[in-house]
Amino acid sequence: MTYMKTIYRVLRNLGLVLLPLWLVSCEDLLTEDPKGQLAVVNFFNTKGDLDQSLNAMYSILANEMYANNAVGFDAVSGDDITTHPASNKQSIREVDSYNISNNNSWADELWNRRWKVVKAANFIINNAERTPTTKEEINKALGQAYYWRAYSYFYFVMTWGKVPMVVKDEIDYNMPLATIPEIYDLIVSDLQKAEAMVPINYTEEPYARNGVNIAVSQAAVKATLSYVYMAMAGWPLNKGTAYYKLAADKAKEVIDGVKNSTYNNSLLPEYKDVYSLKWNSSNPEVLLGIYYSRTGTITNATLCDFLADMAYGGGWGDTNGEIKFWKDFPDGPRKESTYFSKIILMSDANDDNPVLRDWWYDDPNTPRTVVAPCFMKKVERAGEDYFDVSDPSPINQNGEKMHQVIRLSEVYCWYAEAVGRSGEGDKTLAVSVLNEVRNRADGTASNRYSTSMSYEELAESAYNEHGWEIAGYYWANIATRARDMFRMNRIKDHFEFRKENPEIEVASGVFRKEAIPVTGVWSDSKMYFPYPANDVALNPNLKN
Amino acid sequence: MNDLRKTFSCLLLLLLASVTSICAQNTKMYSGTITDVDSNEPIIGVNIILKGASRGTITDTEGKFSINAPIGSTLVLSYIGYLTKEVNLDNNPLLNIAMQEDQQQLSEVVVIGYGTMKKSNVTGAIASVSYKQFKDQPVKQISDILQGRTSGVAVTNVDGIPGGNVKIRVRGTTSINKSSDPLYVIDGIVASGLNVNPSDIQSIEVLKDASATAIYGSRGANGVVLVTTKKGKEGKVQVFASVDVGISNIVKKYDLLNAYDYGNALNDYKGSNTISAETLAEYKNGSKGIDWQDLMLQTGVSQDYKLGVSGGSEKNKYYISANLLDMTAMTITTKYQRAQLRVNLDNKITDWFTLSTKINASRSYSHNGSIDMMTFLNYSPTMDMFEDEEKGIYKKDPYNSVDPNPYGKRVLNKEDSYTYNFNGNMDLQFKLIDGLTFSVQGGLNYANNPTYTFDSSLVQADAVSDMSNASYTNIFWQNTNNLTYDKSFGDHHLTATAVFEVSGSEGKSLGITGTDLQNEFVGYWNVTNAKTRDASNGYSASSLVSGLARVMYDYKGRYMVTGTFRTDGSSKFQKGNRWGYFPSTALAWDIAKEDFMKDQNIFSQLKLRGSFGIVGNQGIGAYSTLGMLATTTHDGWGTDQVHTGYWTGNLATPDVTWESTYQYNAGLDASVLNGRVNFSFEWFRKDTRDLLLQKQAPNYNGGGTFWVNQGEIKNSGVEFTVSANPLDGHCPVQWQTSFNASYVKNEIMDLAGDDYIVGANNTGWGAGPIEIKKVGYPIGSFYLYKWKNFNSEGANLYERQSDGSLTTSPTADDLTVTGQAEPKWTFGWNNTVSWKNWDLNIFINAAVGQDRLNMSRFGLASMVGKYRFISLADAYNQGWDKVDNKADALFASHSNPDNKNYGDSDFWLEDASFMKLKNISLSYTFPRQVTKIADIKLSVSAQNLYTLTKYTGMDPEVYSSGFYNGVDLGAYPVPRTITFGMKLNF
Repeated sequence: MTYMKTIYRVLRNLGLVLLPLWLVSCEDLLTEDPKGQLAVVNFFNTKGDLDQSLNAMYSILANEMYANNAVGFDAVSGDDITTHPASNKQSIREVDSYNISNNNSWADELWNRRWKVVKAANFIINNAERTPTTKEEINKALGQAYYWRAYSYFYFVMTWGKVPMVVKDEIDYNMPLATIPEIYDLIVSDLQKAEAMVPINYTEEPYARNGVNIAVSQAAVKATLSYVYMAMAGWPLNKGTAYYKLAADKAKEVIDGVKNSTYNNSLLPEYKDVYSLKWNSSNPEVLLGIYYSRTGTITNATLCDFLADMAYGGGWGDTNGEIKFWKDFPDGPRKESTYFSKIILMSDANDDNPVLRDWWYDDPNTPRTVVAPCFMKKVERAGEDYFDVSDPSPINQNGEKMHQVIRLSEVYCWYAEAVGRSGEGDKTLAVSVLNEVRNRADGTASNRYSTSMSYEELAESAYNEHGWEIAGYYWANIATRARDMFRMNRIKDHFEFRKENPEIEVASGVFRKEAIPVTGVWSDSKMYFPYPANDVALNPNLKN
Repeated sequence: MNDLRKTFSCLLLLLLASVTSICAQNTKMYSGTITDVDSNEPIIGVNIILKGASRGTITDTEGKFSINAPIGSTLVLSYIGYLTKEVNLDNNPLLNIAMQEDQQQLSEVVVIGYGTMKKSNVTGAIASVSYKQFKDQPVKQISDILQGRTSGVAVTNVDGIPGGNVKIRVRGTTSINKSSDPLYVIDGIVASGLNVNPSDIQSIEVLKDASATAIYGSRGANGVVLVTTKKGKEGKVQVFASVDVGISNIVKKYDLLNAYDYGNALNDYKGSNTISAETLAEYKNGSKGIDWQDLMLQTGVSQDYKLGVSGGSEKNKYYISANLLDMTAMTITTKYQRAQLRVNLDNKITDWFTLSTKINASRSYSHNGSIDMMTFLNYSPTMDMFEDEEKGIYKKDPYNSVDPNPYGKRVLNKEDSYTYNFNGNMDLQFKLIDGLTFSVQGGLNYANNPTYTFDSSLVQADAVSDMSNASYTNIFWQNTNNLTYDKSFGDHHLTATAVFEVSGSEGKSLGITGTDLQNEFVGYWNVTNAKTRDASNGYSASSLVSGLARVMYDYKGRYMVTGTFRTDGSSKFQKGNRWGYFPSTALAWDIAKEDFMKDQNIFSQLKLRGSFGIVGNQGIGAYSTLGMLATTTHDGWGTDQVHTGYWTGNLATPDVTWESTYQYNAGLDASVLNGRVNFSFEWFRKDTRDLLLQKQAPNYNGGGTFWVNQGEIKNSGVEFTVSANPLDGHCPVQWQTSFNASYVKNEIMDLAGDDYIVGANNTGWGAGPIEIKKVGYPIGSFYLYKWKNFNSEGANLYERQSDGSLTTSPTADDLTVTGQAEPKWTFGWNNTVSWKNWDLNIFINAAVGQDRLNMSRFGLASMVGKYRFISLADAYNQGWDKVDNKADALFASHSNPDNKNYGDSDFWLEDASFMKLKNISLSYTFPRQVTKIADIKLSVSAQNLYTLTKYTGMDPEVYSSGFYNGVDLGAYPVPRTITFGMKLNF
């Protein structure tokens, strides 16, 4: 009996202990409480949230553009730049030889990363408005988001043509392809919104630093709009004169703003400073850049653009310059800073007195694999203002040189070209700004261009000047040489030239030619990348 | 040692004294020795009880005993692992009794979820391993025990680094994306892994079919591994100790280019001015050049110490054991240490109240555990070690790998990871009335995992240093309340169980990082020294509420029925989708027990079994369905400051719920020759429906994945086990052998309308999605180009899928489904041969039918992404460009602009079937009579001594588990180890 009593007591006490546990409402216990995490519904509640949404967008921008397989390698279709005939350059070589496959792993990367920027921008565009702060602050954020969405769609329309038009954060496996005019409408409309929304200048960090706008400012939007109009004027929409005029107007607004000091931009006096580390965080010529830091977010650009048999730690040989373009490039400080003026070969690097050679150096007994000029714009050695080609010591693959999205000298060229192609407008101003660009390139007030030029000559001179200004530069800039050629529908001419691949006399009696063979027959489909297979598998509308 | 012996003697005396002798008129003092019938060894600690009385004694260290007992009474002799023996007492006071080991496993008890049952009455598919099956092998972790010893359980050493990943699959992969890991339950408490000292294990049971696993409801679909730890044994104090010392080496190295050949290759492909003639001469005469494999690999040494004490009275028993493991890996600086302490107590407080307490505490430490094999395999032999020897700055490879110097990294950088575990488990058992027991069990698993890293700026020129401290703490708690009624009514036996269970898990993390240390001397211990600093923290919790019931009934051990039902509510799903219901039923019929079988003496068991049930899977992470914002930490403003950002994260998926597996099982168990040979055969089928599928979002929508319940997978297969003692008991040589074979076929039945699903391109080495999920094919199928030949210029030719023509430029449309990552058949064969004091164990493990995509070879033989040059000797010497007779070329041209290299080509797909001699050990026991101290067993053994395979990589078993199944991206091979051991039983 006592035995039963004890059991009863134990059970009762146990029951008392356990009952509260059992009685805890199961549903309460089972309802998730994600402490510390934020959902869309409780975000955009403060101005701080708005700032943090911009932090995310710029973080994604910088990270999704940190290397050349993430951004820009599509520009090797231009006549200024090419790549290696073998090595690990299969993906970029397909672009250079105008024969891109839908399994191109770099193209897949490029596509995915560009869409991430769209997603980040849409997050702000779709939600920022409900932030309880001033209209001005909201507009500032919205304007930047509209800008980067337009920037991304401009990339798409220039690289893939028709793409799905994603403006909301929803998953849609059946999204149709928007037509090219529809996409341009979105780009223009986004840029016009941005133009009205973003400030003329920023004053606070991190949006501005050292008197330079880091975030998207009005001048950058106007300049972009100008170039977008140029693209619309040309291939494939061929909207012609009216759009060149629009382009000229927008470019002129920037030029006027610079002249009357609305915008704090100016050309650097010397071309060697343009891509230098010296001005990396205070470059007044840059209207818009993507900024990096060696102790923060890095770029992988430093080794990309020179050859594997060169010293400086050995280049990755992703790109090198095309010989004809180098040959036609006018001599002067601009050319000196654009290309490696001299090179040191790896086998010479260990000597106490490394031999500086011309890029075309080759010895039939010890032949080089690639003999080509190399661009120096993105090469950097930590702590040195200017890269020194005579120092063969290795450089780190991680760098912090800003990606220059738009420079003022480009706007000058676009203005001159737009005026020239529209056949009307202020030729005097056009020639004057074009001379500003060229005089700096020559290192002297050569004033090569005059108002006596025909509009056609003006346009072509400006087209060429722009090509030389940004030669070999493909790091997130909106106007690469390839894009200039694209809108002028000149890629096909270069295709024929590359097929022919003539020997070019690069120095007295020295002939060199391109290493990558180009074959086949031109078709306008070569203007665009195929859609990456992974997305084609998900959405049949992407089947070309 | 003498003191120890004295202590034991005292304890022994105490124990003996506690046994009160009762002298009666008809009593006599009986004494004698109890020995093993086969070995003639004395058995220590045998329980000797006078039948019908509650008194008894145990044998001493020499197997001797003495007891006062009435003439004509009976002594009951029992000892774990031996058949219980009854001895009738006559006038002869001298008793020399031989006991026989219990090889009749049918009478064994097996642990099932929330209870135990006689093995002979089992209705479901359960694989059982007892400690006897691995005691002769120097196992360091539980997965080593399961591998090859349990049919239907495929254990893959995903990497061979000490403390590395192991993949355990019970009857195939049931879930498509998330967790196909089985549920681990240690002494009734759910555990996140198998963190138990192997020598503490009494038995491991693997529940395979639904009738066994449905009792674990929403977590049982991938099978359940039940681990039962040892309990203290009543009787004399037993002390055991062991020392194992092992030496490990890599089994197979890659044949890489030496510095001279490599230099020539560089000049051939990168340009003749890459390596100067003078330097080349130095590489040739050996005065310069680095052999990275030699430099990065070493002989690993492992030391494993175990010590334990067990004993107690009938009422209070204890088992205490400690384990200390210290391993250096076969890669430089890599270390692993583990220390464990276990205390298992059983206290019978009253006749009706028993308390079981199990406490386990452990610490493990891993140092420099991340070794990137591919980096050092691809590092150029033609370089100097230092960029600046004076400053100690290491040189980066100028020609090949883009990663920092692997030697410098391992020497300068530090990665230290610790795990502190505490597992407490208390079980209160009440005998309420005859047959009715109630138990309340509470368990707590505490895990703390701090990690520390330091990266030096000296690993290459202009590098930036960084450091981090991170700490993750997880607490899992479980309360199980079990009411069980177990009673025989004549020939009927009934066991009914009802359980209410609540469990929860809460994780908290905290971390700091610093970049650009001003003075690297501070390592990872002074974050304020870093120029840029960031901090992070996080919280996650989940819970599960369950109720379950089970009824087991048998008639004469002839007909058996089991029915179970469980309901689970999981916090991982949202309201309305939260509760899942999991029923199962099973039937068994032991034909040998039928009356008409009485006259035959072939079968002692011939049991047919059948079961069906539904089991669930909830293996997604907490908050997966909520759709929270994602955080960005990288600064996008070009500063070294931290600018935290938020943007769209996961898609909210409120409709996601359980995935359910419908399982069918049929089995046959047979036992012949008085239990000397046992067969077991199983057939199963598992249909997983409403798959928790991680659906790929289009990249134009930002990419990523989200959870849906879509699709169906089928797993079916057969398992066969035979265990035997082929030589009869009179033979001086004893041979125990056990062989098992498992076949599993996995097939995707439906993907919710999609024909196939491919993932993202994850390698970054120039390969596509690599794997495909396609209806009609198994999970882990490869998706590759068909390589056919080289063209006349040495470019790879691939087959076009549209028309079978050959091309150098395939498109994604030319990818085809081929090969599979999971083995079709797995085999295990374990043998122990004993002769006198000698024991020989041979354990062979094999897996057949699996392929590996040898991306390591691709990376070594091609210029791809981050591995910019070739390293494999054959890729150069036997490459198209080099061979005179082009028909002999093994690899494509490295200079032809038309040549395209694809890692996702079947050129790199290899049959990775293998047979491994996992263990061979020879041991000799010096009996206590000889040593005067203890039984001393000396052994020498070899693990992974020999592998039979066609695979050309380092190890056919391992692979890189980050994104894929069966893709070798420089996976860490399992080393070959020679172990010397000494075991002492005092």
